[in-house]
Amino acid sequence: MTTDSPRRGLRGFLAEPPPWAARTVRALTAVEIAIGVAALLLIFFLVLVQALQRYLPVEGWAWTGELARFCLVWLTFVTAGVLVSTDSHISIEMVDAVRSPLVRRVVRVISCLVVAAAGAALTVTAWELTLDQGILKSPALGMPMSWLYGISLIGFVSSTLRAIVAAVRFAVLGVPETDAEDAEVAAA
Amino acid sequence: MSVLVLCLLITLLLVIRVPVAFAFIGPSIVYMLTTGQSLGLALRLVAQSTASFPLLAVPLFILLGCLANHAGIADRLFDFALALMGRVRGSLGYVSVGVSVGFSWMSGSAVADAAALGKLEIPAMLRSGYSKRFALGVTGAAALIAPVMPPSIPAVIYAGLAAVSTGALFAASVVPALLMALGLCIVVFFWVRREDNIVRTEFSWARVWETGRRVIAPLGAPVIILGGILAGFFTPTESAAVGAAYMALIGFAYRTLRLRDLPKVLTEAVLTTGAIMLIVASANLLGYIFARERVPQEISELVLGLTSDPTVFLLLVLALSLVLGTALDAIAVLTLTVPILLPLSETYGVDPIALGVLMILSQMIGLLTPPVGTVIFVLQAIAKARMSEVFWGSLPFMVPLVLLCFAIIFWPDAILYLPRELGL
Repeated sequence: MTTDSPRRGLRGFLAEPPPWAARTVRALTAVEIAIGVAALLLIFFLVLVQALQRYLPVEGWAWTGELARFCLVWLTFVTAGVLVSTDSHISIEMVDAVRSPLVRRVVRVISCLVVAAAGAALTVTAWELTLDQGILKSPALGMPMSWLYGISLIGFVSSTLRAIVAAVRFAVLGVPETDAEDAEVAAA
Repeated sequence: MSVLVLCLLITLLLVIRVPVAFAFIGPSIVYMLTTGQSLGLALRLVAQSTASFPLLAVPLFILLGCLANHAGIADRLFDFALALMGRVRGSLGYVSVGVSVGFSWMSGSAVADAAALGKLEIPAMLRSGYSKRFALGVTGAAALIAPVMPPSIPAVIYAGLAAVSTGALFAASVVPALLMALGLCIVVFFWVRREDNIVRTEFSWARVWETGRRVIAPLGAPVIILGGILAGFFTPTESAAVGAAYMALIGFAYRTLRLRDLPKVLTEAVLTTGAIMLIVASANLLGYIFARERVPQEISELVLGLTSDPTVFLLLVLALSLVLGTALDAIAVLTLTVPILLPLSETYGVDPIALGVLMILSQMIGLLTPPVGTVIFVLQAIAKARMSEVFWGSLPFMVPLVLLCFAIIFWPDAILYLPRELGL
């Protein structure tokens, strides 16, 4: 029962996170992806309904298009954090080809801190909009506009936290060798 | 904070590997703060740009591509094309181009195309005695057909940014995409004459019939998607949803797609959409700043001072797209440049559809050039090859693609014929 011992230090914690930490991250990732998948499925079904209702003798539902558009906003923002952790955001990876591990490490830390700073600014703004925009309602659905920013807030908070964790990981453990090897192959 | 400082900051952040979306958002937030504007406005601009009905086609076409990929459609198309072409010298080169054309009707992403087809085609070509450079080059270049042929993700994004008809842009892209295929086949023809160790396969009508039956249903997808749009049954967004539903049904009917595969397919589609749409969203904020600082007007005056000839203007657009396409992701280039180039094109009397096709095609070439050639990375991973092998292998195939860009510049009416005839 030594895995959770504080004596492992920060390096040990980051290199081999204790089961509770790994479980928490997995659960959060699952929640974020589940919201994204739910948004995608809603977009799919709502657009299908919109296509079909034109050919059916029923009155059109204007809210289907509106909700589908809001779903795209949620899908876009809620996945931002997971993309930080999986390093799947679209970026220019030229710097990975630099041979010096120190330079690669410093660059990755700065890069993650920039993401964290932007994420923090968006988090604060989304929080303020969530509080302020409740009185506004969407035209067709009558949905409080605070919901639009409230659900997006999850992605911004997640991006900020994940970017901070990634910055600390790079600072303490360095850039994983697989990244460097991939980049060396790319540079060749 | 001046626009020059903003642009320098963005460039610096891009170079130090900050994700494109955050490299746009970060300096834009600093600009908003230093010019006394509300960050609430910034977030509203970012959110508004994604809450667009035409852009709903992006996740749906990505879903369609993921479903087609997991349903094993690429394998069926490959088997059929090989059965048809097996006896021809260099058949696998033509098969690669042909399968890419077939798969491009279901997938709007070059990366998805390269990943799905590269796994099949590259090992098959190496087994049959083709050189590694040829195998990598033809597979990579043929994958570029996917984002040009409808349904094209960049076309959906361009149409959303430029407020033009997605259907018209799709119709205008068909001829250039087919000409891309023809150009690549010509390069294959000349290249395989130098390849001495190629093994050919036997031709049999029975095999053509057997493999042909297996592609009838998948080839119904483009009929539904493009036919639905052009016949006016669906909007492009709706056709994407109908196409995805059809592809899922085919996958389940063939038992190549199971319920337990759906979480993986959906997660892949969601993460791909998130990565693309966040760039589109962040670029809208940047577009607002550029508009506020009158950047399009100033660039317009600068370019108009250089030339009043629309052809020269399009040549400048081509050069800019090729250069930016080598350094930046295509979606990022589109979202950054369209708000600036579109008003300029109106001044020159250039059709926005022709401009869109030219920009998309020229930026796709960048997918095969270092340092940001995403298709190169995919092929490297599949074939365990070096970047230089993929690049030098694909270089001869870029010649017809660049020539096609020139053809669009000098004869834009050729690509506008189809949308005009269809009244789009």
